[in-house]
Amino acid sequence: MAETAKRLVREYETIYLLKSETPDDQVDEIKERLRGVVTREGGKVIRFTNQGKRKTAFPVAKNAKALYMHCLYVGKPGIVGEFERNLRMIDVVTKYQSVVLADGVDFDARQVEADVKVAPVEEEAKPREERGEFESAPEGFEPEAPETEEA
Amino acid sequence: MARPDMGGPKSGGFGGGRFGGGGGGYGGGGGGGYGGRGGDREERGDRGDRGDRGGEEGGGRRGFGRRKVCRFCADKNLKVDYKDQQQLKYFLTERGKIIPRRISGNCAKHQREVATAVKRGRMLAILPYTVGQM
Repeated sequence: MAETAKRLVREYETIYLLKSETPDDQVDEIKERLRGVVTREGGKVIRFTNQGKRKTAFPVAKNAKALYMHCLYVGKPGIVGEFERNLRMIDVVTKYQSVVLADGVDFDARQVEADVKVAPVEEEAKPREERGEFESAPEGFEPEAPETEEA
Repeated sequence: MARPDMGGPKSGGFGGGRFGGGGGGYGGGGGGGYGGRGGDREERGDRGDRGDRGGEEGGGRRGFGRRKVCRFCADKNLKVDYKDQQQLKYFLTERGKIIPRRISGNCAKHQREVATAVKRGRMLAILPYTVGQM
C-alpha cells in the first residue's frame, strides 16, 4: 500500500553538565563522540547547544559552576540508553538528563541545524548567599525592634 | 503528600483535624509539619478580622481578594519550560519549595506541569532543592 512509508521516530533532548574547567577542545571531542553514537544507533543529531558556564543551584562534583550542554536528536527509543551509557563513561560529565520531546516525528523531514553557542546567563548573585550564610531570619519571623527605652 | 495524614492521628480530639491539617500549611511559612496545631491557628486571630464576612456568606469561598487566573491559560503562547530558571523561580518560595496552586493561581493541569518542570530543573542544578538550613 504505502510503499514509501514515513520513518517515524522520537525526538529527545539531553542536557549534560561538564566540569567548568573542561578545555574547549575536549568539549568538542565529547560532542563529536556523542554525534557518532547517535548516528551509529540510526538516529540524527539536530543540534548541539553550548549554554556556557553557569552557576549551579548547589555544588555539583564540588564545583559551584558547570558547563551546560544541550543536545537535540531524533531516533528510536533505544538510542537514549546508549547515549547515556556513553555519558557515564566520560569522566568530566557530572550530570545528565534526557527528556522525550515529541513522538511520531518524521525522520527525514527533520533538518539538521548548525551547532549553537549561547552566551551564559551571568547573574550577579550575592556572595553571602552562595556560602549559605544567611543574615535574614527564616520566613514568618519578624525580629522586634530592640527596646532601649526601659528605665 | 504526607499532609492529610498528619492532621489525623495527632489531632485526634477535635473533629476539625482535617481543616487544621489543610489550612495550617502555608500561613506558617513552611509549618506544614505541625498537623496537630492546625486548630490553634484559628484562635490566634488569623480568621478573627474577617470572621464577619465569612459568616455572612456561609461557607464556600470566603469572598475576599480576586480569583487569580492561571497565567499559562491566560497566555497560550507561554509554555512551562524546565530550562527557564527565571520563569520557574516565580513558583518557588525563598526556601525553594513549590508554591501551591492555591497561592500561585495555576490551574490543575499547569500546576502539574510546573511541578514536573521544577523537579527536572532541580535534577540539573538549575533550581535548588533547598535554600539555607542545610
